[in-house]
Amino acid sequence: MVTPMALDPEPPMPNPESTPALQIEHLTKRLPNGVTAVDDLSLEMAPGQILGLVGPNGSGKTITLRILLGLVRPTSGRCRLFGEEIRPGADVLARVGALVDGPGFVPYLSGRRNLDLIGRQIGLSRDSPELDTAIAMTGLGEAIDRRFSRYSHGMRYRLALAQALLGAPDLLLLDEPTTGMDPAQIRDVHAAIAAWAATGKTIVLSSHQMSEVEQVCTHAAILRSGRLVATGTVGKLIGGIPRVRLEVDDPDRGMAVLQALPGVRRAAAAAGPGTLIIEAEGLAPAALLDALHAAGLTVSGFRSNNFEDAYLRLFDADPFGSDVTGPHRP
Amino acid sequence: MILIEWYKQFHRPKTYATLGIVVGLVVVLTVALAATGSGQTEFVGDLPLLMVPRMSGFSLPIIALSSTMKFFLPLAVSIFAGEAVAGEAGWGSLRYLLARPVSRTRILWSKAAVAGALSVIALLLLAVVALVTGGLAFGWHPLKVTDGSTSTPIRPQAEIVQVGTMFGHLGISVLYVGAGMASIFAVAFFLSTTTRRPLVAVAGGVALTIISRVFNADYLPGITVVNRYMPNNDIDLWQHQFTRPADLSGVPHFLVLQAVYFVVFMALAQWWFTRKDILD
Repeated sequence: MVTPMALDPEPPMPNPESTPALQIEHLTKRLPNGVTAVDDLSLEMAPGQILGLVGPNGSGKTITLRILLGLVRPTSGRCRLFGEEIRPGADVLARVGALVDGPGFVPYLSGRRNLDLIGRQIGLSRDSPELDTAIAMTGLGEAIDRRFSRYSHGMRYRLALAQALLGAPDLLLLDEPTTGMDPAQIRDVHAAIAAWAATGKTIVLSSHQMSEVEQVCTHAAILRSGRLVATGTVGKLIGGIPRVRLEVDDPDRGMAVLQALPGVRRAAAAAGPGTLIIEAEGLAPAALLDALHAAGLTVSGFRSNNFEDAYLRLFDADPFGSDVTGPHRP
Repeated sequence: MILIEWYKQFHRPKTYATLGIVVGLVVVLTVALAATGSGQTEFVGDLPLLMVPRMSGFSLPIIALSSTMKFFLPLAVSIFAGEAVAGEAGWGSLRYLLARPVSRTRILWSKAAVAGALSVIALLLLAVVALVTGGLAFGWHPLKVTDGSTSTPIRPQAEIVQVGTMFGHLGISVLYVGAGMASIFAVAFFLSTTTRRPLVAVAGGVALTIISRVFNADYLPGITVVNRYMPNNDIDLWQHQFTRPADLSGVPHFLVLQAVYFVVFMALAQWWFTRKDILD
């Protein structure tokens, strides 16, 4: 069930002075098996934005990226990158680097040779400094000369990211670049994305990890079954009024305490043992916790609202909606 | 693009394995003939040609071509052509190759050129290694070839082929067998653009020769009509060079058939590859 969000469906503020880095107009892709993978999608990105493309598996994220790379032809609609229409092998692809659907390299060649071949395809000479930069960026050390087929999962992804950066692209399309990585590796990738963005690159990051989008992206577009459900800045999508989710040992008394606090607009019991959810304005989390402690309650869980809540509000029932079990509106 | 593709295929273990097996086969053949062939007359091919392999090293290329043209060479050619595109699709590198500002047509024909070159190398390697090992084992002498289809014990249709003429005959044989691989190459290459499983494309190329033989009118007289358009039935016509009189009437039909298969399937490969959605 999609609960309509109180959000303007307007695209994230295009900068009128420059050509949009990415422009998608009424894009539709029907697959041969009859599935509509992308359904009337329109999206625009100004240069320098980091857009999180979010949605459950099968929502059309990857296929959209494939269309942007000229790998898949749209059934209808159009896509432009830096003002140029996309078609297979389009010149503008020289300004695009991508990681789509995981790494894909020649298995019996070394990481270095694989990068070198891609570099030659886009006109880099073997001793180009850019190639060295890319190799350094993988952080693979001596393993760069080992055969790709012997690489671990994380090494493969690092090579794929280095490959995406070859040719100094202005636009990066990264499809779930941290899949299967450990937290340290994920942190490194996020730091790298932030660094690339700081150099003015436009980045599309598809992900189904909400925390990733919240940490890394300036904007987000949420897809469901190929349709755009919501788009805007990440801050706007999270929503103006902060929500807090709490777990207390005595939910009934907790509810009473919370409802008496100034600034609490709504409070309700949510799914889960002793779980309460409140909407509060101008109330510091510390003040909230102090009040509960003062009433002799034990708080075992505390989570402020975030992008994940915004996302879940679009896909699951709203906790203030029909599944509310307690009293609300004090 | 051709150089990039060449680099990939030239460093590929499978390329060496295939070419290595070609050389190994010829060497084994030579050793076997040297070790066991007691200087007796042997039957070569379907015609058959009768020759004493030990009489001259020139028997080796003829034996090598005859014994590989119906299965092993088609297999080698199918491997090179069938892996060209499907191999990369299987590795997941095809999408990265195509997500760059290079036209699909150029990528496709670079792959076709390299796969074609490797197929030619396999064939030449077969002939040259056979010529060398044969010569080393038995010397480069004139070879007496008897036409087994028309000869009777009383009137043998034998011909002694001199060394100079032999090179010409062998050149024509290699060209003819090579032309006969064109249909197989094109079918395997087209299939390679349609799948991410190279084995399917390789099997398709090999299947073409097998189907050709299944439909052979010699075994199934009822389907003569189809048989005329199967591309590989007449792959052994080059052996007629060694018969008197040489019956080469089927050669033009065979060559036209090869050209038609090649053009049609390569055009299909181009048509499909430039249109398909890359979902691998």
